[in-house]
Amino acid sequence: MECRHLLNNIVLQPDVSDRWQWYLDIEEGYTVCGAYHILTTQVSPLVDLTEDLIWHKQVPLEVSILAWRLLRDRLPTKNNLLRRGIIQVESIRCMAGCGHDKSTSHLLLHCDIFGSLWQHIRPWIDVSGDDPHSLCDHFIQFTHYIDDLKTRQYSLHLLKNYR
Amino acid sequence: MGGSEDNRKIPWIAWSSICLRKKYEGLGLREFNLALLGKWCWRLLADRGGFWYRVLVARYSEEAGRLEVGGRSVSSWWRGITKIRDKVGDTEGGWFTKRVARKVGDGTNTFFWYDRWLGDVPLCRQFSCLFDLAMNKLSTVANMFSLGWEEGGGVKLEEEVVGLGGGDSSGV
Repeated sequence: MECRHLLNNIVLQPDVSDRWQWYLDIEEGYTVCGAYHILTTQVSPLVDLTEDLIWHKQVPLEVSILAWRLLRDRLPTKNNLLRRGIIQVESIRCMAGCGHDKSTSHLLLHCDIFGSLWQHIRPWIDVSGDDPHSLCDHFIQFTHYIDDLKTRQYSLHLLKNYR
Repeated sequence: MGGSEDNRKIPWIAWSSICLRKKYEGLGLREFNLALLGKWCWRLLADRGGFWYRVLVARYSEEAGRLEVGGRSVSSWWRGITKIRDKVGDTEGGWFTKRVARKVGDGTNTFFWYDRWLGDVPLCRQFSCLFDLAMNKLSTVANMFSLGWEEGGGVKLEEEVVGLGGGDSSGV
């Protein structure tokens, strides 16, 4: 139904041929210069920022490793297991039965069942807020909620138990 | 480092510092390499006329308008390209795929299920239950349109099959 709803407003233009578009330059298409710009300005500063949070002396090593794998999408989620040929495509659905593929961001943020846990965790550490859409933002937000290092360690422990 | 005017030497610099972003006084080499490889990803989609593309088809073979990844023993150049091309999602790897999409005109050259032409992900991922049941997975947008997607058309038929298939219509 949802699929048909999406298609409802689509009208084909008989005289125009299909073509690829690069969002940063709709007319000319891909440029190395434009791509370099987004790669150096938007993407990794966040990742750089997380480095210090992940590899903090006060954080237990196994927690650091888990966080590192999380942000590089190296956790053995079903999606990643499928990619490595360990499971078959039929068993890729999320355990919660919500019908989505079990990717890292689905599992930790967008899943109705598992993702909603964050809202329950917040009261424990006495903060309030919304969940950002990207894992990286989420990670940074959660670690910055609290300046107190003990609590920060605690939230990383929570993350660990999330496994 | 350096050397005198008539006795030039190669200045050695640590790989890690060359890879630093420019603002940290590096060359941003890693990102530059990605941007150059991204150009190939773009040409794989938009500029297939050349001989180079036929060479790649012969080496890696093509399915549904897409070259295969080709297992483990491929060149690091090709591995780099397929990594960029196939990486989706909000993590750092998805920078290419989330900025490229098919602009549909008459729909004759766009795969209904595989190409990303509507929404953020290809329809085969967004509606994977429907896709599993689709009889012709290589339908073009024009094919599907001519079957009609309002009443009794290709999409509707397949939706009904999903409904009858018992319970697993949550993705629809």
